[in-house]
Amino acid sequence: MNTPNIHRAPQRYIKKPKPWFSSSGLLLTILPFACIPATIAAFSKGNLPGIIINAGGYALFLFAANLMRRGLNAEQAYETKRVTPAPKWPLKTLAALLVAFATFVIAWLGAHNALLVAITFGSGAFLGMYLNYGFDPRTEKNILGGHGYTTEEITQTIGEAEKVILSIEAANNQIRNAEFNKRIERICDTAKNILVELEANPAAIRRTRKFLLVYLEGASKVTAGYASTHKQIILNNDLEQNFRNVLDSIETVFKEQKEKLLEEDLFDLDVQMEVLATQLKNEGVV
Amino acid sequence: MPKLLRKFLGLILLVTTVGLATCQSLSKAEPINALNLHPKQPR
Repeated sequence: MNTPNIHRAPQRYIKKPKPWFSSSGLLLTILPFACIPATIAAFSKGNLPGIIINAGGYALFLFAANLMRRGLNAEQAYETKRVTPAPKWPLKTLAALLVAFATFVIAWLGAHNALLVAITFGSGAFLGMYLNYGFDPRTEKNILGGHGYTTEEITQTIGEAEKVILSIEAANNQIRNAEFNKRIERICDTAKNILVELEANPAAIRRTRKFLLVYLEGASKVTAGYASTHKQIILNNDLEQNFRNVLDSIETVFKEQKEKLLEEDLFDLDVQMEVLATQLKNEGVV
Repeated sequence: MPKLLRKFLGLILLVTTVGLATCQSLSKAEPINALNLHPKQPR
């Protein structure tokens, strides 16, 4: 029987940049907007309880909107990963509770409804939050048979490697050389694909540990070192050629690493990696 | 329940409860004597 082999065709890993504006949670800012004129009216008429209830209520709604935005971001990150623990805090549920409480207080003390009516308002708001946004995911996502690795270990290993890739990309942004920029982008793309492969097949973490710990870090140091030197002095041709050679070697090793992972070849790449390590030292870039 | 319908119902509920409660609060944001020292005498 043919079983689908999901890790043969990994999806491209794309870390989305943080948007400058997000509409998530905006509803919770707009809906209680009447609290602002209510607060102003209460101020103008010297109604202290009115000021406290309306301003405090609106502050609660804004806080809930903030929690909801963070909860939705955490949920989106959870959805995009194949191996991840559940979000640490139930932010969406907390936001729903806050909205329910704020609605109850405003309906009871602000609008002077009867207690039972105010409780109905609060319950309705809670149900509305649940239907509109849902609650937080609480189950951890794991690959069947984690090959001796816990979800936390896999997430931590991949998360650390993601950070290193981001640092390489940040250093690349400082380099003003189109050829090097393209090469570094290619290296980062390969590294990202390797991480996707690892997420699908955690058994490969043992084989790629050296790649993750040493060579990804090495690539980051090389790029950051070149970026800072590049800014400070006019480089001579030798150093530029050295950097080109190192990038060549890194690119080759990364590609081979990816191919080995796809082939599920148990032969590790120690030999090639030793060669790269020696070269990094000899070129004087690291 | 389809996701879109669920979201729509949620929106209606939120608009009804949060929107109505705050609008009622605005309409009743009239001067009141918080300590109720001088309540109005009924005619």
